[in-house]
Amino acid sequence: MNMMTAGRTLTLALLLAGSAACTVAPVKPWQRAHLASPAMAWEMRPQVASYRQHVEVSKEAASGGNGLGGNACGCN
Amino acid sequence: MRLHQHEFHALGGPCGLSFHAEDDAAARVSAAVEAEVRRVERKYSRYRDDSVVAAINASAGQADGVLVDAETAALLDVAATLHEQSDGRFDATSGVLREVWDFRSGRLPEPAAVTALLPRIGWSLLRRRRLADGGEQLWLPRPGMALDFGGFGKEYAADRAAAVLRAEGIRHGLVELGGDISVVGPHPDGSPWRIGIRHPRDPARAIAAIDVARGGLATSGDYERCLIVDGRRYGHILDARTGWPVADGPASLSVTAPSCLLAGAVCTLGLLQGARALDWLADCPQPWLAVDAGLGLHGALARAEVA
Amino acid sequence: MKTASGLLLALAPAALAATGPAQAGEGSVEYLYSNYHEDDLPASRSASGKAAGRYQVDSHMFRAQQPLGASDDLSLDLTHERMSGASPWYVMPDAQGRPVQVMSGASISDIRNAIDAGWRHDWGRRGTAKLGLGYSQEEDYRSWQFSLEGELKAWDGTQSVTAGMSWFDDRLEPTDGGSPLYPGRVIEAGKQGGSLYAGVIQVLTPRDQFRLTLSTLWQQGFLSDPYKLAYITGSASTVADSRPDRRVSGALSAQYRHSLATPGLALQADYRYFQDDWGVQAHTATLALNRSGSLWDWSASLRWYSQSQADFYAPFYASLRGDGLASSDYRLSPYGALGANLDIGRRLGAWRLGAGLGVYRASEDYALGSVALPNPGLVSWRNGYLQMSRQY
Repeated sequence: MNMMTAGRTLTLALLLAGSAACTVAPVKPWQRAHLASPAMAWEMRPQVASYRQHVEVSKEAASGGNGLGGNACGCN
Repeated sequence: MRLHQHEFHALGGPCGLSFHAEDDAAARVSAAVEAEVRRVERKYSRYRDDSVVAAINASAGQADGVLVDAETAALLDVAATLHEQSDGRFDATSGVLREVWDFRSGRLPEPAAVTALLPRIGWSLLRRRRLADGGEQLWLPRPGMALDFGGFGKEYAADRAAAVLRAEGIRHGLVELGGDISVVGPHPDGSPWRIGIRHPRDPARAIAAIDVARGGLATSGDYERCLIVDGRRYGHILDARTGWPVADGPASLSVTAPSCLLAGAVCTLGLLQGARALDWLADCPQPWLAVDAGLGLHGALARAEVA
Repeated sequence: MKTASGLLLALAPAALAATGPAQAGEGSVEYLYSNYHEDDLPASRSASGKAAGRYQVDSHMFRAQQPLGASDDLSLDLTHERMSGASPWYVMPDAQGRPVQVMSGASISDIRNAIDAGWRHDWGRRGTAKLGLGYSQEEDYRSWQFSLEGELKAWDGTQSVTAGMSWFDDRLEPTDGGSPLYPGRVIEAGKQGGSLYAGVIQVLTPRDQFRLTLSTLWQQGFLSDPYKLAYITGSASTVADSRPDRRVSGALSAQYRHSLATPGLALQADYRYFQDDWGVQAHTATLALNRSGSLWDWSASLRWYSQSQADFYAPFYASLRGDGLASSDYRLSPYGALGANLDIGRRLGAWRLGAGLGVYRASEDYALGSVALPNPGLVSWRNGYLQMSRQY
């Protein structure tokens, strides 16, 4: 898959997300208990996650995905 | 910088603020905080014709409903959550029960009179439509329905007043509205404010003392307004599903939380659990203190001794 | 059964909207110590025939966050790392023609210090924005990074859009560059680049949310590894690791969170697809269970990773390629990896103590496709950390 098909895939995903928003009911105030829990966070332990991401980027070819990476280093 | 205190009367009772500030700032700070308390009182008072609550209640039964702003919408969200979390025991439309419950009269209402009011109570009957600016369009479908924020209005006002204290640059102080306290920060030396909890059966004594450095402290009990008929105590906290007071609950409950609004919510819903209160409070991550009918102390704050 | 803790969780967002953040002036400090240890290179894969120790890193990380007024937040991250040990140098064929790893003889001992500062602004219901500046320094390497990120929320709170960009400028002065011992090693070089990302967060139900993010990274300059070589069997000699001077990559990640019966226990499922113009394609999948209670919190996670090789990669070469590119770095070879992490934490008043363990093993067996000639330098490591934090 090259960059062009990747772009088309994202557009499709965003459209799906958009249409889902039309049919997804707003979350009631008292229903936010689940969503508000730290266990549902995108990153529960930010400092630990930042460290782990640094190790992964140093030891693997892949990078990126969600958000930006941290500082680069001359890691071997 | 020294300790200043300012007392005034609002929300049906004595109010006060204590804070550390320079002398030339004290008067300005006191005025700003009192003004905010009165603003909230005016806006949500059920006794004033020009309040938002009056406008909402006047629209009951009308097809167009009523428009409310973002601040009111946020309070409606709080009321909705309390209703849902209490399985309907707490209901912001239950204020109509005041028409038959008169705690100053010393007399219980007729059961039939209470039952007759129940059709006018029903938070789940409300319809709300969010508007883009954060406000809402609100419908109270039945004539005679009435909304009031008395269940958490004072706690909300206390937090708003504390926010004004903070906005004025105060880092060490608190606001007290009745038994509801919102603390901005401890004394300048870091020591907390020592707050006495009223003895449920003796207004002149404290049954415990609670140290609060920041956040909210809310207290409620069956002594605030009650009827004692044939030796039985009827507290002022009514179960909206039945229209009658909760039975066999703690004599008083005090809760600390990051805000007075949160503390008051646990406090009110805790008392609404009646005999199950201590079970309901068991997993509460916020410290609380309950005084049972036999004047025994329960909860993490029970360890504090009266100085 | 509804309980007090359920009430507080349910009410917190509504209370926040009504009265604003409960504590203006509430900040936090965190300290993390982590030890990272790579398993020895096995004798069977070592050119010397003897097992060889690899890398070890001790990291100290300090983070402080301080609100500034009602809607701003400042953050500061300080990192101090001590790295020691040997790392892969080049790969050569043994007597049977199988690839074996030659390790750098010297034991590297290096220190890295980094500082990152951030300023976040919260527009409440509308969204947030964050500005970041970072600087990292080692004896032979320094890096500057600048970033800008934002999140825009739909007013009913079920959808938001995120985007961010960053720019970096790195400079390296490898140890012993251009020296008699390593005449081919570059003396000084630099690289610059930037990244962009855009994403959508969608709340699907009160218990489910989904995030899709597309990111791209481009780099230019000296992208080779100055401390590595590649072996040419034809001339029985080595050449310096030589990679293209440009690299463009992209990643698409999908993340899903599902809250189980009780609030405070959630399932995490993440997938990322990566591709660059060097020919590398990679898949990353993570499955985790996360628990957050009022006193205890824990997480258990499994991670699978698989990558294909860079076009110009080879364990060793019969003769130098026409384009002059060469690399025997395992990080550009085809392989897969499995990792597992365990985290646990306990709250004590305003403090929180945390600890965790992690293991990771790279192997051709875990790769998606079949690997004809696995790189002998594939790494396994273990990691443990202790963390403490305090809220104000």
